[in-house]
Amino acid sequence: MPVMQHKRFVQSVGFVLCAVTSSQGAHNWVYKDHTLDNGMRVIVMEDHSAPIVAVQVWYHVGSKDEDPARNGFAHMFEHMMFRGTERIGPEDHFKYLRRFGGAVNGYTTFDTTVYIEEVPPNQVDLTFWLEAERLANLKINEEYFAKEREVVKEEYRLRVSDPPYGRVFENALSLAFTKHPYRWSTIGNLDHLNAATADELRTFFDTYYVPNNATLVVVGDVKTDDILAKAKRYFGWIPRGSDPPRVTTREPTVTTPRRRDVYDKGPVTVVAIGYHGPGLRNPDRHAMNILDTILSGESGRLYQKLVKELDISVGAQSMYWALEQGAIWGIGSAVKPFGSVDANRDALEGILDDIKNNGVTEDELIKARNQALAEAAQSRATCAGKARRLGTAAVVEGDVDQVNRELDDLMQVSAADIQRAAATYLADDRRLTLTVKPKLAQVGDALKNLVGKKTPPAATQPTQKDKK
Amino acid sequence: MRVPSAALCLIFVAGCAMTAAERTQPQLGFPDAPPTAPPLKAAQLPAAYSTRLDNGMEVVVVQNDEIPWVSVGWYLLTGSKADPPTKGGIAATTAQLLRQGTAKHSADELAALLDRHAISLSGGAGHETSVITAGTLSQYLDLTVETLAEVTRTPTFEPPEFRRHIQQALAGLSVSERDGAYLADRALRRRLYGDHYLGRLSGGESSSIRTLEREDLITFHETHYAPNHSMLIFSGAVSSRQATDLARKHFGDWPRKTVPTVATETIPEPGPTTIYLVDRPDATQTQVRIGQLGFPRQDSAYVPAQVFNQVFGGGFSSRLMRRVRIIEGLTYGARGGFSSTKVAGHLSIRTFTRNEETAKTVRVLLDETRKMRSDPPTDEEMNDARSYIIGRFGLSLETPQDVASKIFELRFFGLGENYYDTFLEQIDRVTPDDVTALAERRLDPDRLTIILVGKAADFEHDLDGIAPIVREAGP
Repeated sequence: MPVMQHKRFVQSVGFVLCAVTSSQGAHNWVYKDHTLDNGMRVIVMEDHSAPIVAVQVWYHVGSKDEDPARNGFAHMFEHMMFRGTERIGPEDHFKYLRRFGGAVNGYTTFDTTVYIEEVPPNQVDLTFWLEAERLANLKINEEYFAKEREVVKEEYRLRVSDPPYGRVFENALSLAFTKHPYRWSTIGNLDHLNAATADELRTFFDTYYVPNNATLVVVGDVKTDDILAKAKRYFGWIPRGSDPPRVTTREPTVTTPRRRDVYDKGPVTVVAIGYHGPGLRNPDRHAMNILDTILSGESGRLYQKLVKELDISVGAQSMYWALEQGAIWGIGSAVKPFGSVDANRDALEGILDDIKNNGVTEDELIKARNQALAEAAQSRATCAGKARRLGTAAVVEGDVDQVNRELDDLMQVSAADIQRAAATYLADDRRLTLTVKPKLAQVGDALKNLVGKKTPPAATQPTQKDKK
Repeated sequence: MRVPSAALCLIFVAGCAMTAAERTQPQLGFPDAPPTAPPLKAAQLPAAYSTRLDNGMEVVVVQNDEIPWVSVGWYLLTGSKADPPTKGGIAATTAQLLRQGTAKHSADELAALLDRHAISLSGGAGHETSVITAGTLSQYLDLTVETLAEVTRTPTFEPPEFRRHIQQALAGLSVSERDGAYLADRALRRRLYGDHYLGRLSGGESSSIRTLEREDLITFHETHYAPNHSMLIFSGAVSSRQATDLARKHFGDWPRKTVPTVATETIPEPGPTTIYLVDRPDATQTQVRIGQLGFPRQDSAYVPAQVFNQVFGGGFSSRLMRRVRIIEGLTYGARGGFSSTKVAGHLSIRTFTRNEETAKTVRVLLDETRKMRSDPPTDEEMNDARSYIIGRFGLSLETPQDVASKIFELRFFGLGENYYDTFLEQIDRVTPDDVTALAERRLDPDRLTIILVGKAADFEHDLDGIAPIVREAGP
């Protein structure tokens, strides 16, 4: 390494240490966390850097809260919420806010359903009115449901059944989770949606779309007191509902390794090794997060070993997919054409063995800490980004003040912490291996099976067939 | 901003007079109708600092100290338009591979240096520009500009990294070529622009990427990478003084070059409306594109076209979305409108539907296209479109990077510093007749290009009477 880089290296250590002790106060997130009488939570943070307000309504309901026979309801609701009320026509929600240049959208996760708006500061009243109106008065009928169900089916074809690798995610979920409702994805199951009635949707709505299950997050060019008064005026009258049920199912610990091979229209073979990782309410998440950062990037161990040194993959990366009640932590690679799947798997396992046996280096920690600082800075670039961070901390992580503690916690992760977490979560008997092979390979594998030269693991077809 | 107290009183009165809603309860203070407030005054594009180095490189600075972060983009004023026709992808590959070794550092050393300081650095190319972007915590700005200059000026394109990159690109393209949306976009471009450079994808295709050699990149870099043909844009927590000093320090001694002009093919005249069909027997969905040639960015049609785009296919409230998704339930998304580059432009309509509904969807899209000529926008459509464009402009200036991209647009297209002041006024003055006139002049229903990528057996027989069908070869 050239001398010049050594000097910078030392500077960066100094900078990281300074950042931990001094820059925290300067970048404190100053917000107000208030609960209305009906249980609706309101989180406000002022940001006067631009005439913009981000308004987000977070409902604490996601695909994990669905009936196992009705997969896709939470996401279906994200669509139904735009169909309007007696006073607001279908999709008029968009029309009212777009008039002012406003951006409107919604998204569904495993744990939450979030409705997002970005508007000029003088349109906060209108935005609150529209959100309150649909929470109080949403119109749900068979006609709207039938129309929107067709739209969702098209979304399903777009994201799942048509593109290469569209079903890989579903396969990973069902391999990792056997009991917990994280075993199905948010887009759900078209058969379940076909069998459902508007009355069932109404019941789902009445259960989860109550003010005491909602968090209103407002970040932007506003006055906190003014927003709290408006929140009370527009949302405060909506009566509290029963407290919604919470998922209590716990996924059993994996005690013997699982393997699954699937065939896909994608032409490149992909090998992924995953484990149950710590969820977003588990303190171990910081160590596993730092480990994820260490392994990733062009200088990270995965790319350096599999792509450059061994030259057996066209790409390699790590992934930490963390949720409220669990997580999948994993690494994977895309096998080079005509390359060996076994060699890829062995190399991936070897990297994790090395971490478990020998830990990570101080150099790697410095890289991860700088990455964490960079991410923390960028997470404050926009009002919408800040609102998303506040909403995640409040609703999913269960502690809104994480926004002020996360960076400190990440900075304090040590090499020993990582080694201990790796030994716990990445134990060999907890390993889940998913191999995605091109459909063409299916014929070859079947032949090999017949002649008995080599017995590949039982192949599993994708879990769902698209019904026309 | 507070709502004026008179408006509050009105809202309160309206609230008392309202009828009971479904969840019956006291709704004191909750208005019966959505509260109204006038649009804010149109926003102004903040001024930027700019200067020119002695070697001709333009330096632009948009300062905003809100977060300790700086983006630095080096823009080269050429892209895939300079690719030889049979070797598409050279400009893009050159830009992507810049960080794979320099005169001073190996590819591995660069990766380690950049990752350790959390500096993001990546390159890419479009048809008319190439851009290398770096993002960094402001503490590492000097190192970042130094590294940006190093990769821009002295790349070595290490041979093993070149080979690896080609392999990765081909693997990525082999996935794309199984994706209906990719195939449809590619086919539309080819049919609209023919042999012109806009007819090719700027990133290249597997057939051309396969023929690239490392020497092609070296030659492209030597020929086209020149300070006098480039712009360096800083945005974020950096002063104009600091930025200019850094630009001079790291780019200042890069000598000027004479850059050759590139000959381009002409764009073919559009023929009669034709359906080009790409059969994907395993598809569950048909990707639909309809297109026609339009006009370049500098054309006066650009202004009414922005309103046209909003009314026709620019969002959830557009005619296309209402008809195809909300009324007919045929799709998850439908968009359409004119887009422009420096030398040309086109109208495109994009949607997708289940295979069996393909013909119906095409008929609906053609019907809405014709209606843009026969049914002028309503007052509501006009007001909504104009106020959306004006309001969105204000909301799209949140970060210094947002501002920088607008400034680049002004300079690249030569629109003038004050363009956006008058642009928003012009938008406000667009009439329904202007929109209809644009449709009559620029939208010929008898000369459309229709691309369908899907399972032909499920819909080919329903296409009768729409237009002649040409079967395209698969990927």
